Amino acid sequence: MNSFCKRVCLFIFLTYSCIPAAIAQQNDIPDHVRVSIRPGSLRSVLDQVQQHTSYSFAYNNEEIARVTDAGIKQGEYSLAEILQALEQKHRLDFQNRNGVIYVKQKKTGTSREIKGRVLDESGNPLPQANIIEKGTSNGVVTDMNGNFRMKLSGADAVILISYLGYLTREIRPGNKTELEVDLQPDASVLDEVVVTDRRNITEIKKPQMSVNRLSAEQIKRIPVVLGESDPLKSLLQLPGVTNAGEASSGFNVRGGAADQNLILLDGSPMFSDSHLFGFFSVFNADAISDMELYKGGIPSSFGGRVSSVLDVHQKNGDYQDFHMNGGIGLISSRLLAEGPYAKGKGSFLVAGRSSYAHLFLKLTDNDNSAYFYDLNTRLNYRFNENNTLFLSGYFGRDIFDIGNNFSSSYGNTMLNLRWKHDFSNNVSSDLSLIYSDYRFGLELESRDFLWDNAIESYSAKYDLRHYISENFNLHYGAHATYYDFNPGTLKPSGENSSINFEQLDKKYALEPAFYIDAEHEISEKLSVRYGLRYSMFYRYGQEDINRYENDRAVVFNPDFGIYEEGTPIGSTHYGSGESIASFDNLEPRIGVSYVLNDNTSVKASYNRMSQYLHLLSNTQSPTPVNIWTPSGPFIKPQLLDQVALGYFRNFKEEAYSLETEVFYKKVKNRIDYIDGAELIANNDIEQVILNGEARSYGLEILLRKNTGRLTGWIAYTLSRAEQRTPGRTPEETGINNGDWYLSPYDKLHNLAITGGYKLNDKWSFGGNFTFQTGQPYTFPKGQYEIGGIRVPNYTSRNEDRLPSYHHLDVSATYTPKPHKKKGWQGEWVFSIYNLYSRKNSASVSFRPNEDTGVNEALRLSIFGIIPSVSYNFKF
Amino acid sequence: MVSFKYIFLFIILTGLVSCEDVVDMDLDTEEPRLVIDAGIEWEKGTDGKRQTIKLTTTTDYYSSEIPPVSNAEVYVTNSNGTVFDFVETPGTGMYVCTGFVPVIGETYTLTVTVDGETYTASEQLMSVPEITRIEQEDDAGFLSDEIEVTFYYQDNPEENNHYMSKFETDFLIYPEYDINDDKFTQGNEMFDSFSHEDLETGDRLDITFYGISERFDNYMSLILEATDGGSFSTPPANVRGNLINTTNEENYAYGYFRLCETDMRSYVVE
Repeated sequence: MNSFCKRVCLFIFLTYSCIPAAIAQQNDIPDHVRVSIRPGSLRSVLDQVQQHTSYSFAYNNEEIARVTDAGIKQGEYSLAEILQALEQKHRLDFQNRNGVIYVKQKKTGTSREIKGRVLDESGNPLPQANIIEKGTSNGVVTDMNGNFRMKLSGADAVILISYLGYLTREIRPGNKTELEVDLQPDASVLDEVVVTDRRNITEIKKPQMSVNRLSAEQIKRIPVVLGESDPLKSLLQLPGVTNAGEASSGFNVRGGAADQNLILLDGSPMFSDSHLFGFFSVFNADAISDMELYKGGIPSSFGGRVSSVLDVHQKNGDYQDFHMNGGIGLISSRLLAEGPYAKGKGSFLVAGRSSYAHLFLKLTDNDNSAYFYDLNTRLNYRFNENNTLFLSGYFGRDIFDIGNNFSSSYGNTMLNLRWKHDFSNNVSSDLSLIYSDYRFGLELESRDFLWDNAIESYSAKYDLRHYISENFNLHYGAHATYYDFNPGTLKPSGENSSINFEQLDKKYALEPAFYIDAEHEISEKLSVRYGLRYSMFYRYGQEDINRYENDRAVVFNPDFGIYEEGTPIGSTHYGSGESIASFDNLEPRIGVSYVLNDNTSVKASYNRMSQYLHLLSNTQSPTPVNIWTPSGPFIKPQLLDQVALGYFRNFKEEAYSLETEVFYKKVKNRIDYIDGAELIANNDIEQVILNGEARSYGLEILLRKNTGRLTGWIAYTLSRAEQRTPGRTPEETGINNGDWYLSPYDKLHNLAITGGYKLNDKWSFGGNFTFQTGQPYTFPKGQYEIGGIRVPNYTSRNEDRLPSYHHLDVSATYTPKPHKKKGWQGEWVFSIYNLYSRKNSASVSFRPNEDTGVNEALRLSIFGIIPSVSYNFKF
Repeated sequence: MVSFKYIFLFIILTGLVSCEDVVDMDLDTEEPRLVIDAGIEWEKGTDGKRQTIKLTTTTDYYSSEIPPVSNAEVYVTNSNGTVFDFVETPGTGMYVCTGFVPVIGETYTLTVTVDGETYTASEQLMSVPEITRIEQEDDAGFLSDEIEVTFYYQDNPEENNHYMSKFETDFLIYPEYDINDDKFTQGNEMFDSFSHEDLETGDRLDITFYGISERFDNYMSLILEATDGGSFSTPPANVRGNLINTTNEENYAYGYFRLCETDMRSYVVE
């Protein structure tokens, strides 16, 4: 008997045990009429009563049809007993008027509301846990933070809190309006090897769509290169997400660019997502509890990037016991400590990770080093029921030191202080103060110079959640971020340097926003989430802004049909704090869901978003230099409109779920670069930038298997991503003759199959297969000779494609002592990346052979077959 | 200016588990287009009378032969209207002038007529500073195991200058070019260098140092980006020089008409 049946039976039993005590005010319904009932839907039970008695029913068909199991066992009952049971179980009200019994849904006005939070044994929130009022069909599930709220029928109501793999708890809230419930793991269930990840089960009723969640456990099950679990790489297994291939940073969501993803770590923006040019992400899988990727239908509480929001949550820290875990891998070692302080009022978490010092370098007798490290921290303190303080921090660096020639250091820093305050049972708030930066530094000794560039941001956010009724919730708030951009400082190193000191113009900007978001359940079937974000952007001095003829910083040369850098005709000085440019945008967001039945729904969404920051990059994936630039007099904010439609279904009692979506999106003012644009150390960046547009559309299918020994999913995406930069006047040709051309991240087909198999307590296996259409590429259409060198002749952009990209990876996890719950617990993870050693093309270069001088095409492939082993421990 | 991104990608490529192999790629070939390689080079200390202009067409990417264009009419005029004729060495596509008169700062116009279509371009003759000294370092390169030869010159603080260096040695089948400007080094002593893993004691390295125009700097940078292989970013398409087809604008030619003063040195690696 599976858990679902168990629950239903328990339900029925409880319902019946309540009946004798609850014979209430059914005065006008005689209890001498007895009917023999066969179990079935509510409708069939009512029909049976109609057939065998003189009573008939009047009801709203929709409300009644919803109840597929009336919950009445085979037997003979009095009419009063039947109605009593149905009233209790389904919150129905029966009124007898001359033999016609009117059936109505009970109003909830007399009930009271409680809210609470469900946590696991170490104080981490349990999302999608079930909360049911005992003896009724009244139930809710917790959100991603483990929070729930529900109406109870009275002061003596009892609630049951359950989560698969955990012992169900029964609680009588009494007069309490707020609860915090810890669940303990159910060892017996774990032994049965019934794995269910409730987080996978598709949310049918809520209007939110286009969102994918991955938990830390799922991330760790996915085999990866060199055994280094990677939250960002696991995103690539989801529909609609791709990247430029192996060892490339960033990711592309629904045909969007990498700089169009808003990456949040505990609510703070991260300006770069990877270590070592994209080999590894900045997220240490040990310190992460889960993450959500919003690809569309993005709530109005998020803004500032147009493609997606990746909301990454760090682990909370254990409020109960101190423990440590860690791992030793081929690339890095990790250590995490967490535990309570101040008698359980607070918890902390510190996680560190460092790679070894000679990554990828030939181990010769030189003093070269190349490595990365990062540090995640989390500190919580609960003052009382209504006030909690959270402190999150991140610090990461990549370090290179190559001979006496070259050294570099770069990375993100983030600090976030958040105060959660509940004003009342219905209003809660979060106040956050955030600092986040990205710095890049380089020293080239052979050229005698130092280079630095940075982006710094300071944010304040105030978010409120207002529960107005069971069917209507409001979220609203205000955000403001101040940015300080340093596009570059060039310094001579040493007295003999030929380089002059140069500070590129620093840029300053403020991005405030207000938003309001309503979750509105209009009827049992129809729910809507609608909101509005009003975002603003102000560029401030001190800065000198170039002036150009006709305000054109890029000029078109009609003789040669090319774009060239304009020549300034003067400049305007803006003093400190003086406004240079300002923008504002209204961003409506709406999502609708319509429930077809308990397991099926259709959803639709529209969102408009704006983006005021742009990453200067014309490489296939971002480089670590990462220069961000604000919108201003010559660079317009990017504006996106996206619509999506979806069909969602859980079937076989939620063992499988299916999510299908189609989307169309269009971005205005996507920046494009003129040929030969220098993006680094360019103080007049406006001279190489043109404003273009981008569009993408596609179909995504995600089929998941949520239960059993074998779990996993199949994700398939069929999509197209294009961009166009037309001429500004009829004479201008634009880029690529002003025609639409494929974005570098266009992937026609993208298939990812991810599976996990739990053989027994000691052994579990994982595997994934990825297939992607090769990325668009430009092949030469001939060659010619200039100055004695051979020049490949490229004509149209991205007309060709690299060969298709695919690989199969497997992993096995061995836990020697799976039942050990105290002391040292270890596990071995063995993995093989690219099992059949596919030589995937990272790039194809066209250049002559060094020995023969004959032109060749050279394929660069990064990873062949890569076996690896790592050891993880916990104590 | 040093291009940072290549520095980074270089690291990835040198050290990694990656591998590079030759693959068979079927490539289309567009209709042949005229290529005018018109580089007037006036070496310091010479009269600069003998100059050559090369006419070829585009061809299949894998072809080892570059087809020459014969029977064209080629001449250059200066601002006074003096005409310098370039005569083909028959069948070679090489058009030679033996009485050219180079003047720094003078504007010249090239006219080429092929198959009834006329192409023109104008450009100034750019000066170049002298190479002042040459130094050798034996522990250069990213892993400090290559020989590097560096030459120095004095930048003129009064103007914005653009420079090109060409390095030739026996083991290089094609010359290596480098482009530089004084944006961050205005008025300073500047340098350029060549290093290669195959560079050994006794090798002769020929250095040609050019003063070039800003427009040719832009053009040549695109050419070098295109020859770089296009692995990291979309390569520049249809790189246009300064030639205009005055008969039929659509049928443009590739190539560039540039005039540069040069300084040359030969260096034998010690």
